[in-house]
Amino acid sequence: MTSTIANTTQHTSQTVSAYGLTVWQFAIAAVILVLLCAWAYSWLRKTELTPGQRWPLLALRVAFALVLLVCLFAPVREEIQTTNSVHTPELLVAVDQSASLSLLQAEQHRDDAVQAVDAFLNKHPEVDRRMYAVGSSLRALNPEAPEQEENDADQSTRLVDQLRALAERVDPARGASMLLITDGQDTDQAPIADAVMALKSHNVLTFPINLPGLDRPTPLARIESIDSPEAVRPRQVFPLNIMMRLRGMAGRKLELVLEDVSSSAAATHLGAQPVVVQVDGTTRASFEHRLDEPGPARLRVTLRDPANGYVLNAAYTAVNATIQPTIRVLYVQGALGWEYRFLRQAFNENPSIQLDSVARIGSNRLLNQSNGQETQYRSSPGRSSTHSDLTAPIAQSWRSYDVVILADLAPNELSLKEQQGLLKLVREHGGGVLFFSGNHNRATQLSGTLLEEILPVVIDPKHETHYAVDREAERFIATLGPRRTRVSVHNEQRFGQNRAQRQRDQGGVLAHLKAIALTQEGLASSIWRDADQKASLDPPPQTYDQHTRVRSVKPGATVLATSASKRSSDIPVPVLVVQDIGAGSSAFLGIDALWRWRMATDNHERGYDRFWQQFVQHLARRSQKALMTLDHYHAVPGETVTVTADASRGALQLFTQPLDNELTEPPTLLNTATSPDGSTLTARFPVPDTDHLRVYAAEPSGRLLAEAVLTVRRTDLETEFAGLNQAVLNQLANDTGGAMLGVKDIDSLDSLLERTERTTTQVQRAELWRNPWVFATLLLIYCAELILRHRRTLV
Amino acid sequence: MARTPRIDRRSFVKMMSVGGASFLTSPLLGQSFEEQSLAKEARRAGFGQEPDKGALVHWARMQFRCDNGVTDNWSVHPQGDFSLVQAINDQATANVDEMWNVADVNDLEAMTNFPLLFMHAESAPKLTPTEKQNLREYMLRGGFVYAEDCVNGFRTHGMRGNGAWDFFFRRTRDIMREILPEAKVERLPLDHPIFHCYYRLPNGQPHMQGAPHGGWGVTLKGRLMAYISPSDAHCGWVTTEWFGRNKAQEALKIGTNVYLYAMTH
Repeated sequence: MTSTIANTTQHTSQTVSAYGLTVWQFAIAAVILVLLCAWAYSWLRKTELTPGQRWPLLALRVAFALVLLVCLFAPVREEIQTTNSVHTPELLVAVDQSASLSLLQAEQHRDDAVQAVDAFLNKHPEVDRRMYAVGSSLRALNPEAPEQEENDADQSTRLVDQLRALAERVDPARGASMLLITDGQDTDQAPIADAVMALKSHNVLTFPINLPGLDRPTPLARIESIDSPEAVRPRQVFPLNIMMRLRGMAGRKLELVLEDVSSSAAATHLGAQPVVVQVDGTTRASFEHRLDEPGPARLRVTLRDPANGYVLNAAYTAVNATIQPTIRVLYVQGALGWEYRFLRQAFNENPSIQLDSVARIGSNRLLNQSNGQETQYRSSPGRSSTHSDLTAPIAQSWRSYDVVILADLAPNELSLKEQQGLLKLVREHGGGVLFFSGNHNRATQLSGTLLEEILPVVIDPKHETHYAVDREAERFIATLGPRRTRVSVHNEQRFGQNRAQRQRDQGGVLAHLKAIALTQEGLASSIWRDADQKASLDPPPQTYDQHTRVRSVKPGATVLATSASKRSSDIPVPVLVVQDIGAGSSAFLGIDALWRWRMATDNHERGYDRFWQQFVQHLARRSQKALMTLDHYHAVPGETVTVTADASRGALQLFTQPLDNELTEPPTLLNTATSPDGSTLTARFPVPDTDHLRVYAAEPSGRLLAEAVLTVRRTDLETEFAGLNQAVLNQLANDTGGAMLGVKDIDSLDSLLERTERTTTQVQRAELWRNPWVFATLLLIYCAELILRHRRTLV
Repeated sequence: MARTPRIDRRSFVKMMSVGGASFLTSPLLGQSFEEQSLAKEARRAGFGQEPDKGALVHWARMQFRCDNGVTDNWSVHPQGDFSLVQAINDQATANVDEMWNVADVNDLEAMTNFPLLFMHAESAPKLTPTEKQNLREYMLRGGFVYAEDCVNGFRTHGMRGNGAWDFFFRRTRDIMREILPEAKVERLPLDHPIFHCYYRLPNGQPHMQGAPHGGWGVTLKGRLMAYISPSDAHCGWVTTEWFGRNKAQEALKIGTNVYLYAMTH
């Protein structure tokens, strides 16, 4: 870490020493020593040499010895530089990047504060700074370009934990100052005293920024709730009903955005719709959505202000598209008709719908189609009039079906026990029953039977169906006589030509066919909605011949479609009526055919097929045959959740697994309790401290049967409170010795930062004997002595 | 050695009288026997009483043009259709209107009013590209085509002899292959449900006359979209005189099976 010098004064001094001796001490010692040597040399050689020879040699050798002594003494020169400076403390900048600061225009205020801090730091480049993002975790930001490291907003703020972590990164001896840009909200609601203690112990002065706009009561814009089904089937259209509370925004036009955030990679935009805030501030809106694949999905609903681009609020919901079971539909035909053929084709396109059927193909002959297998049955001899064994092939498994369609079936064709089973299916097990009366009007015979209770309409018993009489065909058949003699008919081929001409004259084939008209409730119903196009399905064209006359609609029933007559005098007759009964629902489709709708358009996937698929999904939506259910799908840590599973289909085990650590944490096998009849498995478990918990059922072999995701509500607290937590910020400022700053007051931070004076001493050492000139001098003296001695012939 | 007594004149006259009377009344007896036989078959199949009827459904023929400019061959033998409709109404719970409807193959809207179209002629059909497209679209939307070859090569092609008059069958098969290249057009195996869904026909398509190709089907994604017969079962519906009582019964059986198969699959 670099040191920052605000004001500096310098002082320099030099000293030379050798083994602790000063220069003068060394010089005196050297001179004494050299003089002693010179005296001894001259005394020893005074008889051998002349003074003219002796003194030059003595001088050279004294010089040599002197230089050698200098080297042996290793003199060192020290240069001491003393600096006195005034230091500013380290500055930490902590920026809250959690979701709570994405609300109520706070994001803009936060960015304003960050820009003000940037401007301050640009004015004071000497200030040492470190920047951090505070949220669910602590992340260091690049102080030069903090905006480049923006991530999605954290869904939680652990402010206290992050402040403690920040404090531990500061040297207590040096201390630091901290600019804190936050709303002061802590998702965990941990005591702020813990953070204060850590900051004080590390000498961190805290300067919270008072974000403008958050320090006063703000318009409250909150998504109060998202009413969504906790479990749906794949491809089932389901509603998301959103309730918002918007105070002080009456009349404003906002925008609701629905996104799928199941994938951590990117959010998928699913749709948006405008919202106009009502006077009372409570506004409701609704989305329709469909999950194509089984498994959990996490959806985010965001409330935006399109005028300013602000995110006002956001909320999440989790929906599970259950893997199991598929919708099991039983189509019971009292007599053969063409609808079944096209219904079969429509359901073939949807793997989540399984269609079984039992049909009376002859008076005593039944055809059962189930799981791709066909079986023919004979009715019991002598029982053809009662037909009580029509559903004998499937009578034992009423409950295994979600929807039963009774087509052209008179109630007396079902035994009392079978009728009771149907009632139980609807009332107790949440199944659906559709009375598809056809033009045979067998529904008129429901009067006085058990099934009349679940019929959503009252049928006019006097109704009779009249078909057009084909006189020409009658005359032609009369001329045929016994079959054996029919070959003798004359002009037989003209018959066909005449028929074709007659049909053209009458305005087309079956020109008398009728269409149905959707009611407002029908247009709004999920049965007629095209979730992909966000619009209603196109109403079917002229598709039926006869409809059942309905006297009245029962209370609580909803008319989705009526007969559409070309004559204004005709009163529309309800032809499609639905009603919730007990735990389930029933419906009445009082026309003889709908299959022409599929034949009339080449885009039957968005017409006939989609209608029938959504119709049975509507009827089965309350079916309780989900393999696994949780008593609630949102919980707080520590809360007990009960999971119930249907064990009647085979042995299974229940597991939980934290979804956030799926790769590292193994699943936990739950202890289960089995109901006395062995049909239900129940387990209770406390919700662990995690964001999402996966709950699933699997066979002992490990094959996954069903799964759901429990959303831990802790993350919801992030957006639960909006606004500045003034008390927390004040406590941080006061207890650590800092102060609350406004955005405009950031420049005053310069005077608030603590400055300390510090003296720095630098010593530079230079070894004087380690010099090439010293060596050269020695060499020169030595050479001069040699030359002198050779010239004097002393060698 | 006793001589074997020879038949006397009185006995011979009695025998000849009885035989002649039987010969003269045989048509009536035959018809009665035929109807009794069908009734017996129906009883064996479990038809003890008048079956309950379902929603009214309609029978329709497909109108089309044939080779050599023939425009009226599509409506040959209309009385056979009534026989089949009556047989279905007599024996099954389907409620088929006896009204004889027509849907031209060049009018897709007219075609789509009928889930099953009966296609029948003595000559090879000749369809325009639009008509072929209509036929393809009709089947893709869920319609079923029942094509029956009314074997008669002489009237329209000047040919004689039996076994080679399969112009209608071969052309229809080629058209199906052309308009539905993604479908399988092949002879159906004898264990196909269409031969067992109501009456048991262990030998498959009953053969009246023509080339014995067996019953062919057009299958796409496991769904049978058309049934093509070269065996002129329709002429078996018209009368018992041409092929005998047994074959006539077989012809009505395959007609009933095809219709009920289309309703239930």
